[in-house]
Amino acid sequence: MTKKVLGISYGRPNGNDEILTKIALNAAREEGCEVELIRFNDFKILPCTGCGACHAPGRGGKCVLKDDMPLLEDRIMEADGVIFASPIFIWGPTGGFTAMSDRFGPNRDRVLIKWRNGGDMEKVKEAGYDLRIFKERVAAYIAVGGTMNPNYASMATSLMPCMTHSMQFRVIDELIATNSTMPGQVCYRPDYMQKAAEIGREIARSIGLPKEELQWYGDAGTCPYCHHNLFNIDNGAKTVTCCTCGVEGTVSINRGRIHVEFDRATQDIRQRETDEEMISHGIEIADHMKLWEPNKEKVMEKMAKYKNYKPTMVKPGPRTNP
Amino acid sequence: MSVKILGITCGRPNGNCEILTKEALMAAEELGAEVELLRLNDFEIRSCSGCHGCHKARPNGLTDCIWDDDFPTFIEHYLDADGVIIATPIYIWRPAGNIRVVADRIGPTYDVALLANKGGDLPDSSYDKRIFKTRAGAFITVGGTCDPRYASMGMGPMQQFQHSMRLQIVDRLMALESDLPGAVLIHDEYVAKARQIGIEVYKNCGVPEAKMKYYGEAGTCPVCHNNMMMLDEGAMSVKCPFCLVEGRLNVAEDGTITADFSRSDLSHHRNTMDEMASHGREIGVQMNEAFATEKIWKPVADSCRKIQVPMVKPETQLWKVRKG
Repeated sequence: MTKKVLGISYGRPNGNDEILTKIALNAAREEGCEVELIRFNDFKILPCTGCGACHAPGRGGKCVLKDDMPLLEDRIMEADGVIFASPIFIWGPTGGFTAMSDRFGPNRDRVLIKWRNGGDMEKVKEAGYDLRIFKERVAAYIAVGGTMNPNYASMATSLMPCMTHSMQFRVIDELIATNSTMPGQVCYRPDYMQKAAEIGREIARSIGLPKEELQWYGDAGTCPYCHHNLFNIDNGAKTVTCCTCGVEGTVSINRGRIHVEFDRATQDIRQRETDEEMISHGIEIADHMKLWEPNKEKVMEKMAKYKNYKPTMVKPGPRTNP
Repeated sequence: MSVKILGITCGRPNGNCEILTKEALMAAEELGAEVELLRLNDFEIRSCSGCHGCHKARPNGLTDCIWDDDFPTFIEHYLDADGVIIATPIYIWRPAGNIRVVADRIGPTYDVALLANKGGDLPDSSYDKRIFKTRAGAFITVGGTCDPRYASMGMGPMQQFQHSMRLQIVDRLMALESDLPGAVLIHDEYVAKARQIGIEVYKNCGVPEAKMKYYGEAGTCPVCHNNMMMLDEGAMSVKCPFCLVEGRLNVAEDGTITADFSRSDLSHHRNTMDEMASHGREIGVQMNEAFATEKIWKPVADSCRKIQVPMVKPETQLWKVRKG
């Protein structure tokens, strides 16, 4: 069967991230993949409102918002590999990227969905879920910024795993291309273009491989799991925690240089993307919801105060082009 | 003149974010503030595409964005406010997407340092003077988890919203263990804190920046008080991904970690007018270089653009684009 690779570009048409995505897709095509490109801004994707409707029994995780998500999601479901390419507007991926990733939340948490149905795929199907969420996928991130100063791309890719978490995409590489303000300027940098092509080839090579054989092609980074460098550091704590993986490491200072050590025996299964950790997070949330019943009356009583409080509401005015 | 405080909630109507925001607004109203509540989900706001269209007529004031959506109403009320309280759910480890969409739209367009550099803050400029007003602000984030690891970025990225117009944050509340709507009311301490936030924001409205007070927890970063740090293996220091201030890590014999910023220069953090202006200049240099080297990269870019790739598009365009 043909391997399918999808590229999603979050910037403007013919802009730098689209160019790099095209280069990557072209390289994947040369390796025999079928490729497809989506310009995110062609799609109307509304932010999640947190209404919880997607959790209702029989809904199969489907959202109630009326927008272009069904088509966008269908293309992701069809793909075996996805390349996400976002401009860096404020130190990280765009608002559109962030809003879209919220839509791939617990409703697409494939581990919990399977676990809640006792591992019975027939039941999962009956519950209305698209079984393609269980397909193994690989992904790569591309981020493009105008700055010459890497500090202004401080969270360029480390804020991206929110997108690939719930369906357990295996991320194999990333590229942060800076110095590219004007559309097309990224082509002044052959190294970025080469890396984009490499990403395309790596994606093609990685599709269909068993999990154990999948490889991370990018820089090692600090976290041995996600390879990012963003950590929660609290004064007085004994460990630092990776913001994207949730793994904890101990710190030592050697001649002024920082070294972080991760105990693989305890952290391997604490990593956010493992089935064990995803289930344990689900249990933790569910356990906590049990607190609701005994408190329900008290809460409802208190809630009345807020429901009855009616400050001036700001509502959107008429649009110039309705 | 009365103080105007705007509450912005990114969650659902009558949900936890709204409850806490309302508590804060009630407290401010009792002190005499004029309050307004804005449910961000009532607004359709498109994600910035980076077209630079809003920069084009800069010398004569701001240009409208090409997207025809509800952002103008949003920003009108934001600019009018003296204080802002923003509450967002934490869906995937960090604040919700809709507040990020708005942050991008505020972005360089309303960057006070860039605009001031163009004389935008001078009395005779055509820019909206309200852009340069010092506002007091507070952030509230709400998550369902009991495990702080699942709110690892639950507060930090709110700085992306804070940055451009230099909203002065006086306090912050991250309310965890609050999943179902109303669950936040199980925790009296969160409600009390929200009330306090309303009072603090009210008190700091109209106060000059230097005299404003931060009431929240000290946190790790001495500037933004978040605990997210860029930690590179082998580096000599850690760096706040928002403020860019660097600190040294100390590890005590029992393994206790402290981040020490006492020897760091805190006067040049990212949110200072100087650093913001310098970033603007840096981008300017980069653009000049783009024009100088255009002959080299443009033909390459054009040939890349010609790569034919099947495109997927929705049948009808649901979003509207401003005409003209």
